[in-house]
Amino acid sequence: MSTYLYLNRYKGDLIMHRYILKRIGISLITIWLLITITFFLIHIIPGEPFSNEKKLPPQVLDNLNKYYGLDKPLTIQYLRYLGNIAKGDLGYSLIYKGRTVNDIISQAFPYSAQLGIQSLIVGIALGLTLGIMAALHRNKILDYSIMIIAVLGISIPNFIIGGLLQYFLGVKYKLFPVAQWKGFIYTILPTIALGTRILATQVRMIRTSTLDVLSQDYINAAKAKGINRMGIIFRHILPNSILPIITTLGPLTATILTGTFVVENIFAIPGLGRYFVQGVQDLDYPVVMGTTLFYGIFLVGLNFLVDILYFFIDPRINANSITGDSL
Amino acid sequence: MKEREKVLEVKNLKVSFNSNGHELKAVQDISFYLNRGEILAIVGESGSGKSITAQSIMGIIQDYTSVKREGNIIYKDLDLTTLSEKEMGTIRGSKIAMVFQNYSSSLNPTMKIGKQIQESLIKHQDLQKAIAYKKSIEALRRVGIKNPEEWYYQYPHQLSGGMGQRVMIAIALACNPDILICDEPTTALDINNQRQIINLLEEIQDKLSTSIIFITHNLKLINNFAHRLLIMYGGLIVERGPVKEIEKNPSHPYTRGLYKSILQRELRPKEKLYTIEGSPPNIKNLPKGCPFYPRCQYAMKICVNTRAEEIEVKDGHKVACWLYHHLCQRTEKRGEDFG
Repeated sequence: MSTYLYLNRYKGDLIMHRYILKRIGISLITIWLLITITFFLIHIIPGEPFSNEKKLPPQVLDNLNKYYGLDKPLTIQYLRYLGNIAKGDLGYSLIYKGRTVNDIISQAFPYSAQLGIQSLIVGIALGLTLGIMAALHRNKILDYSIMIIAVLGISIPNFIIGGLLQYFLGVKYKLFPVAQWKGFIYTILPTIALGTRILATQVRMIRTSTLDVLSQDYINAAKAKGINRMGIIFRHILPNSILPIITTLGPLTATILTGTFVVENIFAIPGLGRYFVQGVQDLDYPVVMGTTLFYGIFLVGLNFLVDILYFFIDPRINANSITGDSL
Repeated sequence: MKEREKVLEVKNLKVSFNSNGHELKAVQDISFYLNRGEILAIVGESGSGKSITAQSIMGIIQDYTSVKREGNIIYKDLDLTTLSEKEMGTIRGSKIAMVFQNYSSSLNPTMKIGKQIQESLIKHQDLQKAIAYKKSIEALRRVGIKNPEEWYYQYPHQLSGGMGQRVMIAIALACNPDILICDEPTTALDINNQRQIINLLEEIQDKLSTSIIFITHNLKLINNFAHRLLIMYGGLIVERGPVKEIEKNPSHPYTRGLYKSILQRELRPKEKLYTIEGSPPNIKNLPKGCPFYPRCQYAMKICVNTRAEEIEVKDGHKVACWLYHHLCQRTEKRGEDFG
């Protein structure tokens, strides 16, 4: 028997290594595709980066284009850009004079990250609690009220929730600052605005998965062991009902990042989302490329991490069950 | 059995579900008892109410819609039907424990086997972790699992069928309960493993003098194992008595059918195994009289509307069938009829 277990573990390790290598390869291809598509798409947009500024003499414009290499054919620009990326250089912003894109990202990302993480924590923690509560009180008033909150949270766009929060809690009752980012108290309203969305999507999923877990025999078996309600909830229901939502964590993070574009604009937060939106409007090619690339790596990495995480959280998923699947 | 002390007595138990205004009578008025150190088998087909009986003793009937439970369930001097959920929690798992049918769905997939054994030890005996660990290892060893220290850290999906059922038994026995209720513990297993589980239960019963209620639909399995037997049909007990006695002299037409449908010898080519004609009763719409009369070849007019009282055919062997009533004309012809 012990040989059996050992062999299985050994075989599992081998397959796991191969799986990880394969995933890294696929991730790299995904990111390359992302760069290429974004690069050509952003250049298709009509207009020129420097045309927004005050009337520049044509000579100056030519010099600027030459300086940033924009006078070269697109393919040359593209190959040069790939070369620079390989060196980790994302280039200079066309609008914010003298600032590199690397600079902008390292300065702006912490704001976005803090906001994202705060709202993820709030959203998931509340979503879990409310979702499980709804399932435990299925078809009772508590369940219906929670589900109404969830539906509202999903259907009302972020910018409306943000605006309402600013008006009521900021302007009318003056509990929180309306906008900007100068300390923890400033983070509360945008966190609520973003967290509501996360909460709403999580509640529905958790409720469904908890209902499924509740109908399982092992819940009845735990009851037959004399385990009390709290023990059953924390040891038997929770670990099993969060399994299905782990897969959604990757895409969820994506929602939050795109959500931050809007929320950061409403609350005037100097995060990455604002630079991205601004960059598209100004045709600041390097900034758009840089932030897109950054998000891309971030998302691909997160999805990868979630997949690996699954191994450790769900003991039933072993290396054997992932070979030959969707890849 | 030296002493005939009752550890459990079920009196007039009725369980019904309410489904969209229909009353589904899963168990209609049954009474039985369990002696200390006794193995009581409950046999019946699916839907006969045997599992619901077990679940209502534990007070864990899954709440599909609304469940109504009437009657008394007396454990020692305690009426379990009067206990609160919290008080019941101190009985479940420590005094009365249950082994479920399907180990693979009855074990928590995200919890290590050892932890699942330890759980009830910690709850009921308030043990320290180190002692609970030792006791769980012991519990695993007791059910015949080799290298328990290694299996302690494994997850349920890594178990094979026989092993999974052993773990279920280890969990149930962890706190040395007085009563062990086994709800079809062997149904999901192959014949070899079935035998082993029966032997294990026998051994445990011998060593710990645990009283066992063994629910099954397999009459063959309990032959040399159980002491007494209840035959259930349509939520009623139709026949009861010592296993040996019923085997020798099955009296209720349903019981006779059951014994006849067991494979006794090798069949000749094209020979069909005996089956009881018809299908089990629909609990939405149970007959007013004997639930078996629509399938019974000896049914009389009285069977349609009136249920027979239990009639004692021999010491402790009782049957609920009009054929055995002293006024029944056909009693003399019984022997040749059944052939």
